Amino acid sequence: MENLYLPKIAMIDKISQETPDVKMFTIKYKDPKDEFHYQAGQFFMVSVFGFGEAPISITSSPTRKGFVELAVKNAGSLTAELHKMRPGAEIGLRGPYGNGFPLKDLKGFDLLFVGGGIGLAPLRSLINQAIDEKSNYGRIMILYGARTHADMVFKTEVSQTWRKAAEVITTVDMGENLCDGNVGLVTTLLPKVKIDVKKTKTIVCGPPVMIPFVLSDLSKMGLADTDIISTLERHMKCGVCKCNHCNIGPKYVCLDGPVFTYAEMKLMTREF
Amino acid sequence: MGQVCAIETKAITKDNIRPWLAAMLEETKVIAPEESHGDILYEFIDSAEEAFLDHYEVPPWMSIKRFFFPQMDTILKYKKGPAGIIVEPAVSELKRVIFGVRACDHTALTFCDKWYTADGLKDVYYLKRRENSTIINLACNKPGKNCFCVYADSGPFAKTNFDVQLVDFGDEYLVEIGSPKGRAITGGRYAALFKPAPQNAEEKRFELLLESKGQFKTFVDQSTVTDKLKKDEVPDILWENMAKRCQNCGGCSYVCPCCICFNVVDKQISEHEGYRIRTWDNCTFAGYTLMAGGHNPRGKQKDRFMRRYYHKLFYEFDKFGERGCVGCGRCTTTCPGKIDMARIARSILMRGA
Repeated sequence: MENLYLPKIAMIDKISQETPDVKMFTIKYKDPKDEFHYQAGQFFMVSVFGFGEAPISITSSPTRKGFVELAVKNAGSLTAELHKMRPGAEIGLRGPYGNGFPLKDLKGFDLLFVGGGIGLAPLRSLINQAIDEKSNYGRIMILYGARTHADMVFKTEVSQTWRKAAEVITTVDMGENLCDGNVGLVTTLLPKVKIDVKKTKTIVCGPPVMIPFVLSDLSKMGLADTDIISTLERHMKCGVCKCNHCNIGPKYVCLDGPVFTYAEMKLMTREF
Repeated sequence: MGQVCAIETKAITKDNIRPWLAAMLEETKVIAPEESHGDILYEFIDSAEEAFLDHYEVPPWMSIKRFFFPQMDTILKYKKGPAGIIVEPAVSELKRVIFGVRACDHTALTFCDKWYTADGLKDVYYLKRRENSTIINLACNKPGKNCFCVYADSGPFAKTNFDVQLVDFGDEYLVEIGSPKGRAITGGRYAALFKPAPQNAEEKRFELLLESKGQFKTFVDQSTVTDKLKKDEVPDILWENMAKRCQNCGGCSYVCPCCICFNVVDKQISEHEGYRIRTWDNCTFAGYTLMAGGHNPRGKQKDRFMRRYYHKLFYEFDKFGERGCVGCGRCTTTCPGKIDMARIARSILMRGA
């Protein structure tokens, strides 16, 4: 019987400081025979031995092979320890887990990404996949809001690389936006994009305070609830639907999610 | 009614129970009810004399859950050496017989079996212990004052899936053997301790079952409660009021044989070595859904409390066709706020909505 809780050892290959409290880790399995097979929108249970395990969404695109990238905010005891690690340090990985973004449903559509803060991390996986497989999709639009300019993650991609293949607009909650000048919540960017609601699917991820507002604004713009997709996060202890921590109503974020449509979320209960 | 899924029946005199336990102890570990400071608890026994065989009010204070899903269970060991980190699983291979298990706890195990194998994802720690355990049930001729297994369809006698079930016939027990594991501890070297089942065993068993069923004092109509939850007919104010009385002690879930939530923590024993431990958790604890960074989706007591009952009576029922409550009544005994399963169910039903 396979042991669901046994992590594989992996090694931190590269680290980049994205913002004062977010680092991106490029990770490879220690055993070169182990390969990464994942879909955009999935996550790994990351072990920092001595400090526990936490679910971290995958931020690299499955189209770029041989490694996995995880963008991690220093937010708790495990992530603080991860932030202290140097290239060459060993961690554990279990997974990938979760349903991932519904690629089949997205094919042929314009994609509107709405990200807030570190919430851009799981979206980046799909954004880069869509850019690499551009012929499968229509327009790619990216709206990104961060607290301040310094808090913007993936700055090179947001300000340069993605702009070659996608329409990108950014905003900051406060201070100066050195990218394109917009200041205000990410919802203020929605009127700035002209979309064909029949041809567009939106993918949203951000802090819990942001998600309900963006979803309801998108709904008001005329998008069907099934065309509004979000990825949720929850405290999780197992990733395999045994520990019970991540339920929202009858659904489990680890197994049924983390990607849900707005239509599904509305059925879940009062909390998300 | 009265239909038993036994592949064979025998009898054993009460005088032969200790010799039977002693014989099993020569071969395997044995867990049995023990008296400890006035409480009846299941413990590993070293000699047959330690087992408590007299009558006591059922159910024993703690269920047998901890022998399959221990309160603290080391699941992995890790070592950091010059060649990197080595992780080894720590799966218990201990073979054991559990004696004197009540139908409620036994039914709870079948529920846990479903949980730990659900979605094709098998929990090796639980399932290994299950595989290595032989269970001797003891049917309840006299329910306890908070018991309501008869309404949860989980007792007072186990109907299926048991290895061995003993039914108290006075001077002797009827021995119902339900599985090859049960055969192994009643045949072979143990066979001489047993005798044929009495002629009128089936009738007598049926009478005892009826007599037992007639003695329940707590009535809980779980299926109507489930319906009301499904239809969202329970007003928030009821949950608010009930939740105010929750002391966040976790007692209800610790004594519950169906509560399977767990937490996982790492314990360092040195800079280079440590364990990964899984422990019992409780969905009414404020930290249960607290995320790094401070967001807590169920920060309100009411939401957590409500979720506990939705989970047990609605979500799990939808997923497995069984409720996460077997009517053992332990939460009634333990809850200091008097907001246990039986009382919650009664409050929901009395509103009549």
